[in-house]
Amino acid sequence: MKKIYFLVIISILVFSKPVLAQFEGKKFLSGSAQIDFGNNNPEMSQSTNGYSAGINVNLGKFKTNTRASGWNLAGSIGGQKAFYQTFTNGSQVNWEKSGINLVGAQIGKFWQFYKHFNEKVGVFAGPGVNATYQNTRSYEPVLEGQYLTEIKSNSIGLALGVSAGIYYRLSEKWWIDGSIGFSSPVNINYSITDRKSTGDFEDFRSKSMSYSLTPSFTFPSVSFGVRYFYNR
Amino acid sequence: MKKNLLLGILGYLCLSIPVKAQLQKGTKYVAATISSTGNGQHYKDRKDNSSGKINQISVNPSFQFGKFISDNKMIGVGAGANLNFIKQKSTTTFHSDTYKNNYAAYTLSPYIRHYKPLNTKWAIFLNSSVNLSYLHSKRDIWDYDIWLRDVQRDGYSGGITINPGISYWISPRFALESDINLLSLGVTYQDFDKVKSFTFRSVATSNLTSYFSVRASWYLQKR
Repeated sequence: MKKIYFLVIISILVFSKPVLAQFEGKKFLSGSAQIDFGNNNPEMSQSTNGYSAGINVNLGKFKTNTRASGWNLAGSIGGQKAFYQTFTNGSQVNWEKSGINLVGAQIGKFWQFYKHFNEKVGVFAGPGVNATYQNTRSYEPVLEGQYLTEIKSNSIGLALGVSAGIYYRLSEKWWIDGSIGFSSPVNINYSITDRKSTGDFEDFRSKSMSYSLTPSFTFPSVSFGVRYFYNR
Repeated sequence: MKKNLLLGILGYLCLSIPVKAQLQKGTKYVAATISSTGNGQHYKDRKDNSSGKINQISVNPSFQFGKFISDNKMIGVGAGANLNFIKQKSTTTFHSDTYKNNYAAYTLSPYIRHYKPLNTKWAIFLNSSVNLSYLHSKRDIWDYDIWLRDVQRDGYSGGITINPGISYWISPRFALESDINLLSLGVTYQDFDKVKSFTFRSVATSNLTSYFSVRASWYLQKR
């Protein structure tokens, strides 16, 4: 008889208070790296190519058992070799444009608050702030292909957001991370764009400042990743 | 023996079954949300020395006030606005002109809402509302900084909307709420700018969109 009450109480305690591993002071790393290269060699015209590389790293540390914070660093670079044709006064001009046409960088700080359900599984959520910079260059034929315009753009942005995820502990060193949802309620962006064309057809500069304030979130947002704990 | 176990489990269940004090008769309800976007652009054509400015701001505030007339049933009224301001100025060596375009929609929507609590933190609800809107647009035109004329348009629209939603209580008095799209029914009639339009929309889907706009809500009880 008493045994049953004892069992019920024990089961309540066990279900509501799992024994947890200690995470305080542990440092972790997650991220991605990517390199692309493509070459296109048609029989009738010259070959073109495109390439890009990017890296995105999250470095974090558990301050307490349920709180972590860290930095996000990202960078990307891209380029291409391409050919454009313009027809000015009935004569055809070929333009070869090559080199870097995209440079981007991002730095961010994030905070995560954890709820560990048991030894293996838990959820986390928290705010983050990100600053981005991007420089792009592209080309566009204008006035029915008579002139070629070069479009150069520089932009900086600042974003405040909230994201949530779930983790599964594979081992002491490796976790699987899943994203559950995110929200990006505050965004500010400033950009300067220059348009300059051949034959002095266009010479144009625009400066633009924009913001958005949207209290909304995206859920579910499913993506998976791996997290590595690098201290002993 | 078995009876005791059963009673124990029942007792445990009773502890975890929500006693939703927030949804009792007499509770007052206030909710608010706002979203806004803006863009300011300045351009200069270095070739013919013309330049221009475009500024655009859109603000969407909305409020809801309600009172529970019985447990899990609330009546109330929502008030919202959709305000858009656009100002455009272009200057050339010979001429300059300015347009100012304002568009506003003011909406009043009495509603009735039924709640179903899921547990202590979550509840779902079904919201049925009547939406009445007054639409107004005004365009001012300047030439060389001299005001020329304005063009004004007025209109109205009316409709009925039924949609479900979900609430999550962060504290006993404060919750975040979002409308969801699983089921929605809407009828709208609009008369604006010499155009009369009628739309009927009904959606029943098992496909949840992944985009939710959130409003902050307070459940205020008498002490």
